[in-house]
Amino acid sequence: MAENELKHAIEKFARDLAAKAESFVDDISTLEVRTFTMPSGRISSLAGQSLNLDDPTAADGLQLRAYTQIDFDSDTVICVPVDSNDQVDRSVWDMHQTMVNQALRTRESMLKAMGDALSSALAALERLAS
Amino acid sequence: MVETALFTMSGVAWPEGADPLGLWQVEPQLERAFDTRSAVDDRLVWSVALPGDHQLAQVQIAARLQKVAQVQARLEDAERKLGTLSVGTPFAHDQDTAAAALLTEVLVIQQGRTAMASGIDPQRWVDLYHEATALLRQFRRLLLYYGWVETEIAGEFVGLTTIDWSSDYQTAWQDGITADGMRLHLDAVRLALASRQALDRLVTVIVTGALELAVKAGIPGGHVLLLPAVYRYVRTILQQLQELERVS
Repeated sequence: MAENELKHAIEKFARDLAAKAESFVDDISTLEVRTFTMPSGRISSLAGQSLNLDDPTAADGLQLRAYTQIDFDSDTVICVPVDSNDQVDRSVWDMHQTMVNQALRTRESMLKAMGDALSSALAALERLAS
Repeated sequence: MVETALFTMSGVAWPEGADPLGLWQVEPQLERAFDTRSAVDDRLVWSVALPGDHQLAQVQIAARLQKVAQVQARLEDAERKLGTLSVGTPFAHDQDTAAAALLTEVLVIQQGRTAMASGIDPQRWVDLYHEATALLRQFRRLLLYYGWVETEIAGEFVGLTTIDWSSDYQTAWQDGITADGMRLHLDAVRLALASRQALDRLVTVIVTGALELAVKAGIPGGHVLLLPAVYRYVRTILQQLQELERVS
C-alpha cells in the first residue's frame, strides 16, 4: 500500500514536471503585468479569492487600472490609466511601472535559476561519470 | 500594535512543520480575520505583517533579505559536502553525525532491496515510503504554485501580488496607498521571491544529491526513498553553518 502511494506520487510529480517544462518556454516568452486597485475598506476581501484573469471584476470593487504585455521580441502592448479628465493617472502609472520592472527582473532571475539547476544536474552527472 | 515584522509562509507542509531554510514561520493553514475560505490553501502564500513605522519595517525586511543571501551561500556549501560523500562508509564519519546518519540510511535501503529478512524492521520500511511520499507531495506543490504575497502594515492589508511560473504579475493595491507603503509591499515581494528561489535551489540540491547517492550505492530507483534522508542532511548542514557563522 505504502509502495503504491509512493509510486502514485512519483507519477504525479513526473507528469506535472513534464507539463511545466513543456509550457514554460511558451509562457515565459510573454510577460503580462496587471495592476488593480481596490477601496481600502474592501481589499482584505481578496484573501481567499483568486485574481481571476478571466473575470478581474469578480471581486467587488476591484478595478483593472493598467496593463502591460511584453513579448520576447520586445513587442509591447500597454494600457495606460487615465483619470476622469482623461489625464494619465501618474500615481497608478508609477505603481504599475515599478511592478513591470520588478516582473522583468523576476523573469531574468527565473531563467538564471533554471540554468543554475541544469548546471547543478550536469555537474552531478560529471562527478558520477569520473 | 505590530512592532516586529512577521514573516509567515503557508501552503506547504514541511517535515517537522518548519521552513527548512529557517526564514519564514510556517503555517499549514493560515488563520486570519478576513480569511473567508480555503482557496488560499491551494496556493503558496507569503504573508508579511509590518509595523506602522515604515523605517523600522524597511530595516526589518532588509535584514531578512540579507539572511536569504546567506542561506543561498550555505546551500552551495551543503551541495559541495553532499557531493563528496562516499557510500558504504558511515562509520568513517563518526565526527560528522549528519553524514553518518545519511549513509546509514543508504545502507538500510541497500539492504532492504536485497533481503527483507536481513533484520530491518518492516515498519521502518513502511515509514520510509510514507516520508518519501509526503516530501514528494510538497515538492509537487512547489512545482504547481509559484507565489502569492500579501502585505499588511500596522494590521491593515495594503497590497497583494500573485506571480506565476511565467513571471506574470498581478497586483492589487489599496486605493490611496502611499509611496512608502508601496515600496514596503515591493520589498515584501522581493523577499518572497528570493525565498522562493532559495527553496527551488534547495529542492535541486536534495534531488540531485539523492540521485548521486543512489547511483553510488547501486540502488537504481532508490533516490526517491533517499529524499527524506537527504532533506534532513541538508537541513542539518544549513543549521550547522548558521551556528558556525554566529559564533565566528
